[in-house]
Amino acid sequence: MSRLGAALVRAAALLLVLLLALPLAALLVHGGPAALAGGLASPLVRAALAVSLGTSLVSLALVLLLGTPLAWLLAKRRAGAPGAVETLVQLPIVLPPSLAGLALLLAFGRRGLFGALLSHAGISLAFTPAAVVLAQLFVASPFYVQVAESAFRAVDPRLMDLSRTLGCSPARAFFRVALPLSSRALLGGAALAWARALGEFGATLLFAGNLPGATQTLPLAIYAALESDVNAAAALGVLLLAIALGLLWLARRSAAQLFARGRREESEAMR
Amino acid sequence: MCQTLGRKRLAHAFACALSLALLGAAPRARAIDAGTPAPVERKPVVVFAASSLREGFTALGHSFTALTGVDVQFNFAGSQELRTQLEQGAQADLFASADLAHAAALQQEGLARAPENFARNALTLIVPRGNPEHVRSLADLARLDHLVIGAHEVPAGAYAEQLFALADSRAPGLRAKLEARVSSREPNVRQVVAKVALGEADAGIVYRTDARAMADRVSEVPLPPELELRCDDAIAALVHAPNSAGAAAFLAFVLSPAGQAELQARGFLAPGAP
Repeated sequence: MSRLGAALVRAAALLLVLLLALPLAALLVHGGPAALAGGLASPLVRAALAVSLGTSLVSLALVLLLGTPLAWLLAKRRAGAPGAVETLVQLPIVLPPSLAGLALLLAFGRRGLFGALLSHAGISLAFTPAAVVLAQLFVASPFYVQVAESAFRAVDPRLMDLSRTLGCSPARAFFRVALPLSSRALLGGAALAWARALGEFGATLLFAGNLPGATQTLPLAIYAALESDVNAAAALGVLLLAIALGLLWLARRSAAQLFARGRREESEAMR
Repeated sequence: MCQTLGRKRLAHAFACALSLALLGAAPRARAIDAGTPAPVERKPVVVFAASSLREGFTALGHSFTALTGVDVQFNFAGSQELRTQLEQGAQADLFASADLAHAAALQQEGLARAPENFARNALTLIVPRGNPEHVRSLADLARLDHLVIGAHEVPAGAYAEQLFALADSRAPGLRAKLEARVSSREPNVRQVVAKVALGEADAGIVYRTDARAMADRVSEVPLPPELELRCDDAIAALVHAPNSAGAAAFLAFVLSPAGQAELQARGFLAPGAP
């Protein structure tokens, strides 16, 4: 490649890096330690933090509880073209969150398709933290299921067969072999899903509304604070950024381990 | 084969990117086509306007364009959100707020000229169409599950708080009961209308013009005259307006008899109306 070409490649790369870095740097400048301390002292921020942590942890538990079996079933079917369920599971990743919020309203809103059914069962989701959880579940669970499915696929079926011949029940084989082998990847998928749930904004605003202490999560509080105090919004932003960085680190660490294992197995197979 | 496929894809991606770039540049391209150099007054007027002004101002924009040939581009959102955007350097020619406070604040900050009161609105109570919960008065709201109002920074939300205070002065204790029924504080008045129209909320507090604009989905519950709050809409030219001549022209049109008639046909009251 010519010297000019190499320079162009570097310039393009640098431009994108700057575009990604500068907004976050500005956030840190506005939401410095003083603003962060001031923000954390405000009851609204604490309420939003509590709502965010509470709802996203419940979402995370549901993601793990419901997503793991789904990922296992998806991994067990033969590799090939993605089926309807795979597409369904991947769709929320590419859908705009406002569309997710609208769809949730039309399905589970009080006048939604299943609204009457829910109210017969005595369940009213409107403007409750449960609606926040549902919105988070809708947008976040695909991230976990995707990662978990590929992790389960990477489990050597011979190991599962072997454990069965040693007298393990299928459930025991899953819990003693497949789950431990995939645990790091599952952790990474869970971190991604949790980060996505924490960051949920559009679907929450549409489906769950915005009430401090009940449905106002951190991203909604940022949106609200922006209209009265930009620095407070930035402080909230720094808080979310710190949490996101931690979760990203967790996701990456497990991804690195997964890849390392994949490579090791590959090289063993080559030998 | 592999290479041609790659090239085809590349060409397709390039075509996509190019058409996007051209879309973005379309207004400029048109100005050049219309004759060079583009006359300054042909530049569109950019108006940041409160959500409640959506229908009224859209109609005004069409009439203004028909009259002058100048396009009007609107950015509708909650007044407080528009104010934040302007404070953060957004470029616009005019700011139309659903209250005086946000326009006055921008003037104080040196970003807007003196605001003009161009219309009044009335605060009202809306329920899903047909009034399934048989709401007849403000006091009836205390027995509902979900009352939705604007956020505190949203003019309609601030007015709703005023209404609660006013009601409380007549029926002590009502304010606390009403506040306890508030299920959500929405980012602009039209989101309040949407929640009621969808039936998610049992009632909402909005402007009369919003109720009329969505009359096919929501019903208005008239408030007694002593609880009818008047809300002033204000418009101000922006100090850093890229098209200050256009801003002045549209502002004059809003205040002209023709502009006023157009707004009043949609339920707005004349400025200073009782």
